[in-house]
Amino acid sequence: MTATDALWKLSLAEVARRIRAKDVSAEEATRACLARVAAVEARVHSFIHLDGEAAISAARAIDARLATGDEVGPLAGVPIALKDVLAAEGTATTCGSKILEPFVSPYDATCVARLKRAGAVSLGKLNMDEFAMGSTTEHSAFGPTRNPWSLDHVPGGSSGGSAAAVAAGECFATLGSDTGGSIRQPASFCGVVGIKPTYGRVSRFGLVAFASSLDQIGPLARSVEDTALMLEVIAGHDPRDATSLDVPTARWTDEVGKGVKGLRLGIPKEAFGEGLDPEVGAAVRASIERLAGEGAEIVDVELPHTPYAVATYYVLAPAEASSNLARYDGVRYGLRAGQDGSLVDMYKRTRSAGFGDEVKRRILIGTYVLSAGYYDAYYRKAQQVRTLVRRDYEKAFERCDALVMPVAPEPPFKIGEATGDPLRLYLSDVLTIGVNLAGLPGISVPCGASKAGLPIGLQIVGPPLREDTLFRVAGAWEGVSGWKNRVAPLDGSSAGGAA
Amino acid sequence: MTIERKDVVHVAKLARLDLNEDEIERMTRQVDQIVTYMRSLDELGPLDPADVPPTAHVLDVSCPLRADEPRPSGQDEAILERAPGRRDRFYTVPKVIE
Repeated sequence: MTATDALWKLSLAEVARRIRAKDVSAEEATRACLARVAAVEARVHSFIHLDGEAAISAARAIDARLATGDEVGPLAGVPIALKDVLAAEGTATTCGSKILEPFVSPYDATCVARLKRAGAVSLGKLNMDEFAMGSTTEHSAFGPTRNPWSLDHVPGGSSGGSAAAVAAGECFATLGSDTGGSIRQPASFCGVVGIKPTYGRVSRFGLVAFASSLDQIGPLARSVEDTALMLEVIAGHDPRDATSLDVPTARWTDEVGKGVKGLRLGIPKEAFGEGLDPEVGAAVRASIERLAGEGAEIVDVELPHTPYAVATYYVLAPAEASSNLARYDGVRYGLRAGQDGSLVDMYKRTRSAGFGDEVKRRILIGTYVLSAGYYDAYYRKAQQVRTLVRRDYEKAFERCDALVMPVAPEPPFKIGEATGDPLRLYLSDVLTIGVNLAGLPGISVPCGASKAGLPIGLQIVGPPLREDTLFRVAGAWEGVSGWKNRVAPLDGSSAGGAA
Repeated sequence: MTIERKDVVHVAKLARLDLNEDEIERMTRQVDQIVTYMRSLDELGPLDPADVPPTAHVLDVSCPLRADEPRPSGQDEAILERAPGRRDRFYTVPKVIE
């Protein structure tokens, strides 16, 4: 194997350093990733659209600038890819849906523009559950993505393509979006790092809306440092998003090696209750013990409204979605199904042909809870319980600097295992959705593997705007765990035992 | 049963969705199961809005305003050319008024 062949296995930080030092060219790095994509993509199916030619020409432009000594950004020449919920000028932006299949974006999302400015090279757009609704990526109109560690299993979702691409070594980092766990859960299922920043940290301009009060964009990569590097580029105030926070960003990469000495880590007892898979529980508890060994103080805390979080979320998120998805009517862009009959007939035909099963289900739920006579019983009540969930976290953070818990109560599902039982899948979101309801930052880092070789994730949750603490704790864990920069071999072997 | 067939048919109409017989049957069963589960929020009893105000948004969103200065988007043509039906500078749709 030549040095160029193995480039795709490096960390993002390392490949960026080598490109800047001109040890390798951006084109070589891009070609190495494209070769890996060619070798594994038929089995994994991370991408909805792959544009190798555009990537190579972007990489050559970076190389030309490096050759003339031009100032280049921190991600110069680094191959990345984007969840297909993000607008990128001149590329299809389908959201995993037939209704947007014909749509080519005329503009860049703010986070995409920032990545380009930083010199990143996009390979294309990644698979996802339709409109980010789901936790397996089986609800994509373009077929499921498979877990690179075990092709019979789902990669999680809705950012399943984003997690699988990184785990499979197809690129160095990706962007996902997280409304109820859609970055953290697939990161956990695929053995990579994924962070959902504080609500308002990353501009949502150019993110196709699912549930606007919950949606947040974040990066996935194979190490904590790589994720921090990506967040440094995409975070920051944007006047084009009214909910974008005008607060300073930070050098989060500096936090990764600081250790946990003196930090108080809260263990919410509700996260270790009934329904937690024993292997997941054991792996997470072992991680907490190791963090205590590194000097963290462990305190027990309570999040008493956790049992109501799923019900609250599945009122509020579909309600917001039913309103956001009203715009898909076949008039201005995307699919139009036929011209016959009345305008309303055209709306109905277009929406019925364009939306998949899960999206229709959530539109029905959302429309129901907002409809006359039911608003107070469901929507208003859920908004009140959202207040109670937020207060739980506020109270817990009076006693600790961060919470440590599992990401998902179970290891990855088999493909097809739960598609007929939506409520079962909704219930599996129980440990991630509270973080969205409260607008908090949360990170998922690999913490082991099940006996069957499937990755298990550790979730760290902080108070608003304390991403620095998340990177400290996640970095400390990564340092002692050995779970860093692992690429799924895709040669028939598995994730192996816990490190 | 919290949700019956007629509820799904009514809500589908509000949401501008045409469901076939299979979908109506399946969605009635699944949405009933989900909405019944949502009723678990009733276990918390009535919540006084004075003690527990609803959270619409985690941020104290006061809608930020900018100066009302018109400027060209420069994208009129790019936006119009994405329309499934278009004539000149207009979107075309099936006839609304006879």
